[in-house]
Amino acid sequence: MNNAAFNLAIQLLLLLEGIAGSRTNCICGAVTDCFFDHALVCPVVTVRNQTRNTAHSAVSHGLRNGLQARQQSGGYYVAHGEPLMDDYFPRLTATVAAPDLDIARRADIALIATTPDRVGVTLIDVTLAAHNSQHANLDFNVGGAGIFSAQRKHAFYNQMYVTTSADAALVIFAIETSGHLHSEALKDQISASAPHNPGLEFKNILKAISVSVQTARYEENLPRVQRLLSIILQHIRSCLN
Amino acid sequence: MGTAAGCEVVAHFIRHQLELDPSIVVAKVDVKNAFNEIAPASILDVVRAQLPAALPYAEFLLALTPIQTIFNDSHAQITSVHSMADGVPQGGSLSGALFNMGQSTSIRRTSVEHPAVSILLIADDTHIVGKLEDVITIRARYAEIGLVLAATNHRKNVIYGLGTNYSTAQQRMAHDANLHWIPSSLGLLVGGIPIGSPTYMIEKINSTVDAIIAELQQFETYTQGPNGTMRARVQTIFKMIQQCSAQQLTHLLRTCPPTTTAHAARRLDAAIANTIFRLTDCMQYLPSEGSIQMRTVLNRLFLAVRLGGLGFINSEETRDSAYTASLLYCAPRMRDFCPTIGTSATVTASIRELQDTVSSLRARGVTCLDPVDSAVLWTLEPQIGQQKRVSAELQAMRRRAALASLPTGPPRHSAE
Repeated sequence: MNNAAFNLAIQLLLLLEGIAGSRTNCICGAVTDCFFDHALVCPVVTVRNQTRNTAHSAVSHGLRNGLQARQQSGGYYVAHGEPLMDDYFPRLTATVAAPDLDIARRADIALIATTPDRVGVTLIDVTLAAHNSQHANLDFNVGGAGIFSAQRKHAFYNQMYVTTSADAALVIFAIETSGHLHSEALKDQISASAPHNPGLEFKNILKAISVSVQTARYEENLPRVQRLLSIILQHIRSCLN
Repeated sequence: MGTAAGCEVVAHFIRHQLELDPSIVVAKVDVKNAFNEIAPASILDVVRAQLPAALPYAEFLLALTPIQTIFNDSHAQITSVHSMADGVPQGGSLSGALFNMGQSTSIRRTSVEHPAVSILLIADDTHIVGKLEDVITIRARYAEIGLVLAATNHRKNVIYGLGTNYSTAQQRMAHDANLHWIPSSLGLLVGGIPIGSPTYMIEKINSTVDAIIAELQQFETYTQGPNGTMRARVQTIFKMIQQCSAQQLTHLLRTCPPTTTAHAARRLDAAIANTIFRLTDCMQYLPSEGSIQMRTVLNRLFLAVRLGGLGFINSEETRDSAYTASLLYCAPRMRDFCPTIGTSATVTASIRELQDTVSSLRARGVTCLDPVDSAVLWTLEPQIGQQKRVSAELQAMRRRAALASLPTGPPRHSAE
């Protein structure tokens, strides 16, 4: 990250007040919070772009890099691209009747085992959650957003697939925008990749991922919100003149 | 000592024995050019007798044609050949072990002759703990294996005790044995760990922190190149500080009583926090010093990464758990080495500190520690990973505070 982006990410993480200046509201009218997490759920499409979720891809990319670096010692390899869920889990027939569930879903990362003592395929789905996203479900509370988000993802996939397979496992890697990590599901995966010092390896990967999260938060939220608010302020100023 | 956490065991053992009996002294003997001058025959004899399977390899390393180093000085037009017939190979992974094997015969013989003396070795540094008259006799043994002692100065070949009533005759004896007597108000370094008077320990620990702070200041300059150009990214320097700064003090936090490390730990925490705040341009947004908001900021700075913090080590918080964990691990090992340790009714200052520290941790809500009984301490199972368990509980408390401080309502913008 460049110095300005990194400094901003650290200032955000330390919950320092005043870094946003006097801007308090988004263009949708909602009050923004000091994490700028409102951008994750803002109903205005120009603020939140579902098809190009940079925060999600930054975390996913960071995790993929961390896992790829250890694939040889870990007895797995990281498959290219985003794996189709249909290739690994049998689809429930009931979903045919529900068109919105009948979409080909993809996980973010697939780990293919190269040793017989591991589950054949581990699909990892990365999800970001913000505890104070204002417009999100009421269950999003401090420290619980990651847990809720993971549960919601599992429930969502269980509607479409039989995810209890002996040959494939689904792991939800839920991380809150404040940095809190919900799931330790990957700990076993990473631990096995570094038998000499699994704790340290796990810690190192988490540190790498935390940088990705901060990058994500910076890229996703702040510049966009600030830019939009600046435009509105300019517009108001021109109207007044 | 060929054991896990060997340096810690040695330091705790020597400190405990000196505190227990003021008439006991420790002599630290330094061998001149140790690894290069030990007689290979003394090593091979031990390998032949005790580890015959390794004999061919040991002979390959030590008993073949002497290694020759050719040095050419092109300016002076001189070429010289240096032959090395003694010593263990430079940089060899087995050299340390081979050297200790070579010493072992003499050390064991001395132990048998002087059962009241404890001899502890860290590489080529020999520490002899016991009564003065016994301690100075070991010097003669080094000649048997081809070694001579280094020149005596205030750090090499020294003798130290915490007592204040040593006789003139005893001091004369040490002087005649070419040992430098360190006053009881000072101390000595054992494997880099200060042992001696509280003032000496505090001073040494603070000088270690001074060096770390100087390093932090140097790190800060790395972000600025000549004429305003950038040399290193803030993120790189941040990572270096996160991974390398507070960790340098951990060894001392584990081996020195918490009362001696308190001030130094606090200084280091403040220095790290200030450096990070300056590096990341946070100074202008910081709340006032000592305020609740500032405590929240510092809490997040020292919170583990996986809990949403910046992952810096809080030395002040670590020192209690580090010292407790180290002594709980080392005490049974000390008993293995010296069966009489811990049998006296006297409780030494370092053990009292352990009891106080454990009480303090329990009062703060740590549940994984039982109260320490100074008599039972020595026979407990060595507790591995105790520091991690205590730290995890302390981090959980920190996390609760961090979660409670996360904003959920509308923002409080200071610019309003």
